[in-house]
Amino acid sequence: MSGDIIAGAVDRLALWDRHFVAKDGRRVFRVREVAAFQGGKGSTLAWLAGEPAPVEIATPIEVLARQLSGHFTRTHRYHLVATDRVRAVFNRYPDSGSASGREETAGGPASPPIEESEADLKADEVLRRAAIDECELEVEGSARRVPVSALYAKSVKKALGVTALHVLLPEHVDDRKLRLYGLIDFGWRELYRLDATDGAAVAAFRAAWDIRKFSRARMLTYFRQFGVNRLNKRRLMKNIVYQLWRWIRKGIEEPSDGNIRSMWYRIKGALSHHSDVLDPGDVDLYYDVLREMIEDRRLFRYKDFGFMDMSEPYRAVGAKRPEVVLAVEKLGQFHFARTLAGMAGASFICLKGEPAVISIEYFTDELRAAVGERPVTVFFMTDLDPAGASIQRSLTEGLKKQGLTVGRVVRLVEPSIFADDVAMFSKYPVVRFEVKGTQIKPLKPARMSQVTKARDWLANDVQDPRLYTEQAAEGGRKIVTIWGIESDAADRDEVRRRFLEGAARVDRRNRRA
Amino acid sequence: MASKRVTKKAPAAESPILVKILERLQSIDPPIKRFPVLPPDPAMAFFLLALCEVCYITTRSDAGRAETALVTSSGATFYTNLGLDAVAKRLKDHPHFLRTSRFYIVNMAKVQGYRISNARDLWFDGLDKPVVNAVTATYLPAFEAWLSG
Repeated sequence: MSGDIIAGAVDRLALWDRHFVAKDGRRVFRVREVAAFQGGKGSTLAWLAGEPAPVEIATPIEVLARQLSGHFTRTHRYHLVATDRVRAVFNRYPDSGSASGREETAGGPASPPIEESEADLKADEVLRRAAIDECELEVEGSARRVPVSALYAKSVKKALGVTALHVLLPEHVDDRKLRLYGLIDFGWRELYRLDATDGAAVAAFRAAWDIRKFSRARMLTYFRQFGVNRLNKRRLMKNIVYQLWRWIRKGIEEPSDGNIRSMWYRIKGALSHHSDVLDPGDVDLYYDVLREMIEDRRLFRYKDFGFMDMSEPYRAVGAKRPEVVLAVEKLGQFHFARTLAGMAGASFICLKGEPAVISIEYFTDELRAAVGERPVTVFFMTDLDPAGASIQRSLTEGLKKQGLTVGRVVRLVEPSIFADDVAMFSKYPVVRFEVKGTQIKPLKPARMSQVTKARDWLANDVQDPRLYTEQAAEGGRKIVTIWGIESDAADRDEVRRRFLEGAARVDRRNRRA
Repeated sequence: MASKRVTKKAPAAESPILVKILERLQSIDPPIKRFPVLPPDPAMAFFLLALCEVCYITTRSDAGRAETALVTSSGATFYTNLGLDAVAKRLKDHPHFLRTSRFYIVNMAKVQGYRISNARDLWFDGLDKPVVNAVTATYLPAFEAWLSG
């Protein structure tokens, strides 16, 4: 038994010294010198380690694959690679028009087009998933990368002793999260150990890993769209934002001392100098990426970047009852809110429409410092319409997302505080729509989504028939109007009474608790 | 219906000289030459580290997570998310790698010196500092057997 194994091992060793003669007869070389073979029409090119040009031989690649089995692995219809020379695996980004499937990615092209569309990005993802087993191999002794096609991926995996070609498995759970979201934590291990007070070390680290200072070619190696030779700008933007957040947290990047747009100028300024891959018009992409990472993904907070909150003057935490919060919708109600909150020693915030997430972040932190783990009660003075209801939901959910416990929500402006005559004079149309049978048609300027929201609001939130009117029209149709009432139309004394009584009730409840 | 029992034949005893030759051949041409590790450059999917450059393999948790580190004679460190036991299992047929403690797998071809006292320290080709207490009592007989050839 060992005899067969020994014979096999000896054959294997001897095979390294097998000779090949070049087609023109002017060159003889050994198998051990070959990094890869490339098939072609009627001949095969042997890429010898350390040599820039290939040597042409007559043996077809199919024959070589059989004869050199064990030493060489077929990676592609036209490619055979020395297994022991493979030292790195890269994701593959095939160029269109590449006849053999060969990819010339080393260093990237001189001046690639840098543009993309939403459709490009979707196609990028589809292609990436479809071709997850396709990759490129870096071979010791050769500057050229060798492609792996899906057909040969299984044998390549076996030869390299791995179960996947697009990532090393097993993968750490944190790395997997970042990878699936398209983020790269550049130099994370060095960053972890970096002493933020060591100026020289910080400078060296920044020089090595600052994405904003990468060249175009280097950016392409990390943020390339799959299937085309273009930069994935959205992915680039996400990575810049993520890196800034990591570096600010570590203390090696100054937080922003301005607003959200100020950081865009910082990013754009550095990029213009080094790679010039973004246009002034990409500011919207920046805003959207920031919103997605913070509000949808909740990776970090606006506050982490040091952005100033433009609404800071329009809120305060109460000295006596900080857990009682008065939230008003309009800037015009600021003085009323401040005075009323002051009377009760309560907190207040002037939302100026839909609350900004950054304002909620700052307000929540200030509230938490004052109330600790106690639940807060929020009194809302918002318009009696779907937008007012949406503002209430946004603030309540925002406070909860930031970790505060919202005990109760009280609407200070609700239908019951309006007498019939006041309601008749004060109401204004929110949406109008036409009804025929079960068919609903919005009347301009209303859109269907607004009609749906208004109907839902009326049926579930207010349930007041005074805010709903029907008018018969031709052909059995009905013109329906859903009405709202501005919060400014409410009797301020009534609002004041409701708030102060409510605040006192919170006190009693807290004492009982 | 009675089932037919199939039994495997026990392998015939191998000639010690053939076994020795086979070991020597494997030492010249190890069955595994590279090991997949996390890429030093994020542009790569992974890196295949030449095992002939590795001095020792150990566990580390100095970057906020438990990892297995492969230290080369140039002083560079590469990482894998496989545990040390899993790495040992993959390298079990490699003639140069030997488990010397719960925390170390050593490339014996890279060992340049050792000191056996209370602690058993190893010096490696290319590395200035010894690896302290790299061989523990449990693994010492196998280590000494390897050294004695």
